[in-house]
Amino acid sequence: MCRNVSLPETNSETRLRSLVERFIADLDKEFSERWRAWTYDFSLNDLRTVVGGLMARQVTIASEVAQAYSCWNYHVGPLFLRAMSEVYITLVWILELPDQRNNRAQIFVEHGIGQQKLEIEHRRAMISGEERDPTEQEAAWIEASEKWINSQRAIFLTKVNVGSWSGISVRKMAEEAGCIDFYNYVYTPWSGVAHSTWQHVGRYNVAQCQNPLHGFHLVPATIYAHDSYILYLAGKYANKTFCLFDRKLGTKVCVPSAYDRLVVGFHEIGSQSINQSDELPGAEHRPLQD
Amino acid sequence: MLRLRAYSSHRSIGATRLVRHGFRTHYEKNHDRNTDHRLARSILREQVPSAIAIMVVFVRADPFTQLFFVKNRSKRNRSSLKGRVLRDHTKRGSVFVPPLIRAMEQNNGALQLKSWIARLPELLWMSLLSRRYGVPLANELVTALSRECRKRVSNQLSPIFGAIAHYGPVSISEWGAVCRGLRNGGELSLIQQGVQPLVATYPQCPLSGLFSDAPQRTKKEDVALLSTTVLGLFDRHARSTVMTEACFTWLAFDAEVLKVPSDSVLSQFPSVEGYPNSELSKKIAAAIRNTNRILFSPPHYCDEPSGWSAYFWNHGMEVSACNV
Repeated sequence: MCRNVSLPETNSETRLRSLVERFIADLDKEFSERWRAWTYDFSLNDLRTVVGGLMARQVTIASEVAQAYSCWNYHVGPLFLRAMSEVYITLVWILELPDQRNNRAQIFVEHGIGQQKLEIEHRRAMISGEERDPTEQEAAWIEASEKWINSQRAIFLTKVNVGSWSGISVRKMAEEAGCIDFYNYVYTPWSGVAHSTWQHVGRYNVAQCQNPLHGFHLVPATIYAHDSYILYLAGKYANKTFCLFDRKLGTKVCVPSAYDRLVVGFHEIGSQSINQSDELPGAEHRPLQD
Repeated sequence: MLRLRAYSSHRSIGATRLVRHGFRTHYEKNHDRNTDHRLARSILREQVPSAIAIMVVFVRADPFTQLFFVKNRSKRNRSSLKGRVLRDHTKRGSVFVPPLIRAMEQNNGALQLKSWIARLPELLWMSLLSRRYGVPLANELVTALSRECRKRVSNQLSPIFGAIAHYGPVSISEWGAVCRGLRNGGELSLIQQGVQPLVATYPQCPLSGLFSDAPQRTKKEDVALLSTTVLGLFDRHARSTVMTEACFTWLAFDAEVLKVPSDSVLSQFPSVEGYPNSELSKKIAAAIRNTNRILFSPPHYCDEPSGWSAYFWNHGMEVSACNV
């Protein structure tokens, strides 16, 4: 099937492009204002670092999704949305208990550093197994990675945790943080796309042969369907994260919501260009996210 | 459990009617799974009366019946279970097992899921004859062929001679005798014309024994007819499919493989002709589907799909291209 990687060919193409640009600028502004509004406390430095990093991650993914028109489909769009949903659950769990916040942020950092240390060790083991010296490129990578770790924790004092970073499953984190619905209706459906399990592959990568003599078997297929709903959801998850930030950290900002303006912008462009995706192949499988 | 016990104590009530009667209390008070499974196994072992036993066992495990019970749970139960998902399933480690699968596992394999797609090619010849000659004449032809085979064939997979695989063991000399018998009755040429598209398109079809010379090469019209017929058989509730399945069940009656008590819905078998216009015919059709499911098991059929079934689907790929 022919793949459409450009914006939908409607007369609203230019307006959609400017809507996307406005959305990205709004996201940046919303995040910057919140970051400024969060009172600095040195004793919570780890928390501030982790929350800031995860917020920036959320904004980055949403902005990239917005700009990547070719990713507004159910083959790759949900890969971004799954990452965003996990960022949200991670944040909500870290921020859930005020007296545990900094500790959880530290665990998050230590786990990540440990993972990097493990990767270095695996790489060294491979080189040693091949009974050779590291190449120039390998040596540079190992040195840079060790420097990155040492800048935060001495590498020889760094623990390596090969389990989940929080010590519990994502489901349990969501349960504890009171967002099990988000886990059930967002994280889990998008996980099927991320892991390429059958509930995704069976819908988007196979098609039924209509020849009765073949027993209606399924054959490989690539079904492309452009859907601006992916952008809508990216905006929605980013907004959810901003709301979480305000709720948990007590920040108040006076900037227009990027998500609200995105929704209004969609309506301004007109229902035709938004709803046309309903008629595209695969649209009936569009997840129920509202 | 419920329906088996109800069956044993209220023989006059058909299995389907049991579902409709208010027997939830009976279910809740007398729920004893092990006893019922033993009873089910004993009925199945004795094969008396097999059709009803089969039907009862299936109604017992029918998801619609499960739904009936879920719907009729008391308000107190409902409120206590509110918010739980898959509440009628059994959790085993990280797997939630549905009630029907659990019942099947507890039956030591007495109940098994059977793929219709694996059985469909077995009934194709009857469906082709029905399309060409109409149901009454097709049934006469099918009956004539199966009776001849019952008389002439020594090594029988099953005396039913309803599935195409049943004709696999027929030797060349036996086919000669069968064809002579049919020729005398005037049925041979009609049967040959009816199954010709099938045998021409699928040369390894066991029914090729009906032809002294291999039928002409397959034509586009043959493939189109086969496609239409197979497509029709995929809808198990279509009248044409029900009539084809009924024809198979009839052969089991005719071969005295299947006997039912007078109070069984299958005892009114001829009323299936009214399908789907009467409630009775729908009940009979349901009983036929469940009965055939068992008749397509040892000793009347192989455990796995037959060689014919596998050949049919494999060769179908060569007959025509995919249509995506």
